[in-house]
Amino acid sequence: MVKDSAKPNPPPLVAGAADGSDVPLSPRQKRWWFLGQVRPDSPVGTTVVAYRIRGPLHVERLITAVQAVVSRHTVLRTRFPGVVGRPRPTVADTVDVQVPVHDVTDEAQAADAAARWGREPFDVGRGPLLRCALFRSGARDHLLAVAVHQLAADEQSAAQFVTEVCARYGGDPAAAPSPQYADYVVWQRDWLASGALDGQREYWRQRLADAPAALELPTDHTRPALSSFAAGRHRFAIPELALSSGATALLTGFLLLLARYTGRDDVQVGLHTDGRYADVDTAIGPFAGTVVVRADCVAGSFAELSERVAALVTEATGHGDVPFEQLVEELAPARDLSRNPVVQVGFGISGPDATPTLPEASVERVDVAPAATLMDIELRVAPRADGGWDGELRYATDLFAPATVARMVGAYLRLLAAAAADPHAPVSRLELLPDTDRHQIAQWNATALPVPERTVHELVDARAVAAPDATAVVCGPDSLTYGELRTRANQLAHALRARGVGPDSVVGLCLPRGVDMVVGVLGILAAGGAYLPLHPDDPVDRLVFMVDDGGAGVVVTHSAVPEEVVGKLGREIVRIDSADVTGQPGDTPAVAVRPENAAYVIYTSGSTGRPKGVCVPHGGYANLVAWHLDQYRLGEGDRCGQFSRITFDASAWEIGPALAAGATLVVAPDEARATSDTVVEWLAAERITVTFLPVQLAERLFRDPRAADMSLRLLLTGSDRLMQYPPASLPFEVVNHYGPTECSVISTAGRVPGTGGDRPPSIGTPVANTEIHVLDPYLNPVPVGAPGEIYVGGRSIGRGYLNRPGPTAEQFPPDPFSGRPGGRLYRTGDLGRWTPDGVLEFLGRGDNQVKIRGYRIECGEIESCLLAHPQVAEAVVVVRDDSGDKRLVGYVVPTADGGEATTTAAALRAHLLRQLPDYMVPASWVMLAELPKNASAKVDRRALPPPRPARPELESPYAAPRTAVERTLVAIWSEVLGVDGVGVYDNFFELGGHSLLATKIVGMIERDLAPDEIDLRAVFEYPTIAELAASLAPDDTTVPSRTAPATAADKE
Amino acid sequence: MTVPTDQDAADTTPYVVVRNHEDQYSIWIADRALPAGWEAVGEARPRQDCLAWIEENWTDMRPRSVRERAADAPTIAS
Repeated sequence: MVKDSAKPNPPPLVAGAADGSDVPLSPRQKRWWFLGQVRPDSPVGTTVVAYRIRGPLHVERLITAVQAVVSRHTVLRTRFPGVVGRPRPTVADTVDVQVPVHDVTDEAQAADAAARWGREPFDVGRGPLLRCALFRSGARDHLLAVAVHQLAADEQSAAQFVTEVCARYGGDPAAAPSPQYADYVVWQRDWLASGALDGQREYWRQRLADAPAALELPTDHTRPALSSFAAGRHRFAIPELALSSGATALLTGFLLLLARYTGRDDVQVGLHTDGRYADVDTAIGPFAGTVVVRADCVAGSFAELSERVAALVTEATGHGDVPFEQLVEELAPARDLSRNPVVQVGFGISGPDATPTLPEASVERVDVAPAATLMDIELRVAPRADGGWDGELRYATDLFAPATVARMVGAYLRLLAAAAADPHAPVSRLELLPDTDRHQIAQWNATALPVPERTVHELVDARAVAAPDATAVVCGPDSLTYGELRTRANQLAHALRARGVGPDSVVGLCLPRGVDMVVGVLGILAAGGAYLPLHPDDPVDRLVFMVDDGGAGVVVTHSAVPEEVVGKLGREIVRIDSADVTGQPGDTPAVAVRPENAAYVIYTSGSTGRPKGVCVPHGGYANLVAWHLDQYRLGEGDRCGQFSRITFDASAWEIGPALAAGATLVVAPDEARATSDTVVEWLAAERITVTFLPVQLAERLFRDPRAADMSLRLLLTGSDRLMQYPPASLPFEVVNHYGPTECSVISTAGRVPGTGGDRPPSIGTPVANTEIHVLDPYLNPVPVGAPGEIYVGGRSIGRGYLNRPGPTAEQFPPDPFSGRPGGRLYRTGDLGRWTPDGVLEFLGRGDNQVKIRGYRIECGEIESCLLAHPQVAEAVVVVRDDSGDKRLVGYVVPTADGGEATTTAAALRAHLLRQLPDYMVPASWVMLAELPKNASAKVDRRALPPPRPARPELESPYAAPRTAVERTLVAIWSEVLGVDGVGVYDNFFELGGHSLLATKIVGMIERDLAPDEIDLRAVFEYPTIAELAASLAPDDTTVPSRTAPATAADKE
Repeated sequence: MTVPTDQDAADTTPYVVVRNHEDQYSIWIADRALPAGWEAVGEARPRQDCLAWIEENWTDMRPRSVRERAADAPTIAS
């Protein structure tokens, strides 16, 4: 792999090459300078080292030594003011670095105080970029802390600085090093410019060409648009491992950990290097660099992977003469300020430091908490004398909670132990889950509930015998008592029995909404059969397909269902209102139905286009009902809504428990289901006490003032991703549910609190006799907090897909977890994770992720953020490709009180930018009165209208440029944004701008306008041309005020 | 986060066809211990071959217990 041309001998490094008047910046310094400009209030770039000094210490002598060493190193006397948006390094002859003394109570406090002190940001424009302090916990007990900005020195240099200071304190009059860092920078610049390293550049271009834009670790907190760079850390000990490869094994384990936590095999980390060359080993400066190690962790054993990783490290460092920061400029698809480009995870091995010595006192390196990190997480390891390692996992506190990081460390150690135990086992088999997690998950899955050995229709029958006069079913003006329901269902059952229907016969049920629909369900079950719901309004071809595919020999229908539908089904027809049925006896037919027999068959749309008939047995259905009655305590006084379409499996959930409890089932007539408004009216008018509503309608109800004055005690929701928390003032409880049709409707449930954190409501915990497993592609459980695919196990698992052996075998694998012989799981295809509190978070489908500019985006995350805006009632975010340019489009239904007039794209954009990276903010916006919905009340994404192609409708009307500066800016914006007719009050970001484009704008402004000062932040601070022009030419009196005109009158 | 589809679930990984006491079929990674109550049917082979075999041979998808009871009381077959 390593080409000879890639590793040329470096040219000689000449001392004095940098003459002092024109000190260049290394690519690494440029990056640090940029970060400092973006976040001047943060300690980004600060490195702190600290040493405990025990013994007598002369502070004045120490200060003299510090100043002597500072004067030796030019880079420590350099400051970096910005001029015209660029750093202008300026070297001072002398720099006054003091060593203030802070009194602390003890040594532990000294280290904490030093860490806090280290977080004070540097002013890189003023300097100095190095400061020292002593923390005194006793007359002979000091902590010497040195903080440096990485523009001036890296950590190794900081340690070297202290060593030199101590030597100077002891009387060593060492001279200034030669060459100095600036000489190195000139040398590096010339080497890079010579073309000798083009082979290395090309290597990286190829190596990283198809690399994912970011390694997406599951985070606790929403990633902010602009990182604070604040760091936390978790320290741990790694025991000596029975693995030959030492540090390589640790890196290999870390890569595997990342692969498991992200669910992808292709992972890359930034490996820290010291960046030193032999000629500059006495110089101080920011030499430290990063090389990318990109590994495919998919196959082979740990031993094999270790070998590959070792080779990759050799290869990467062999191509490490091209600075990482220069590669970023060439490779990074976008300058995203929320995360480090190219690599978001770091790995570093701390070598043994030079040990400073003082006369009469002992000096010992003390570990202090890091001031900042560029990475999401960063693993640092240092070898110990006993053969083990000290580990430190640094993490961005923007993203992770300490408990999550501790868990990650637990998983890492578990993985290393498993690898050491069997280095030749396939990596896919290595255990990652710490025992604590395993026990925890087992507890969360301990859901045993006794279920009566009776079918659902038997329970209903018993109710009817016990209380025949109670009202069983209501639909508009129609109603049936339990006695009437029982009689009619049994009559139908006898009619079906006479046609040979028995256990496991599939019977079509093609009835309009109404009480007869419920009679039909119970009649088919009482005959022993399984009902296959068919909606008479659905396309006849689809009905015919289902009847054929489901093998229904008989279809139950009604004389009101048109003959052109019934006639085409080509099956034996039983009309529920015919004399043939009503003449049958009303007693319960004797049919032995077992839990394994089919209860119903529901067709689900397959991703391949051919619907699949899901076969759910009586055992699963009975389990659902038993759980529901246990959980929701339905009673005879309850009026339970039946909202769902009969072809949707939620209808089975609505019907069974209500009738088994002796409650009244209130079927919503078609007209009540027409709009969200009529649904609310129906709930109120029918005095419904418990109902299911799909998520979109439930969220509507949250905001409906009528909700405050209802009989409702329990609102059950599900079938889509719940994004909103109900207002605490609602007089009823809200419970969120999750479950595939294949697992008897419901697999998890959780009460939704009145408020939540920055994440959508959870899907709760497993329901009775149900286990949830969050697994990696090899069926290994993933750690708590890590995302994986949701598998369901337990009593609710369906029989499979009718007449589809392949897909059934594929989706229903053996259950290796429960110990139930022959048990099966269902593989949902949904992504989720356990939270540390033992509830499940739904993270979306495994297959509907979108990518914009290389970043994987979960539109649901943007939607939930939008919904948190008080003026947003409903929101959908989709990726559109209308103009050949893939971009995010936000569809928003404003709240009634907010009104379309005042909810603007500008406000929404500003709102999102507060919580999300800019690439997650939609480029176009469409305000709608209502979102298009499909038959099952889910948002119909395909029916969303395309956004306006030209200059979008913005808050302010179009305003033409009025000055030369404005006209130039309009031209620049139009070119960069690809939008015609940019007005001077148009917001850059509303027109589709993002930070990458902002850097382009800055570059073009420098080229075309040559202003005194312009930097990236100006575009963020002055996002309109009028504002930006005013900031660029504040004295230009021809620039009008920033107030936008009230009308579009001055449109050209 | 990527859920592997059938295509990328390591075509090189050998699977076996497995069957439980109800004569329900599924597939399992060949070199892993079989969960209790499952037996391997035939040799290890690529995933798609296992699924194709099942598609061909799992002709009556009713659980064994259902099938055996039904033998006494035949029902409508379509």
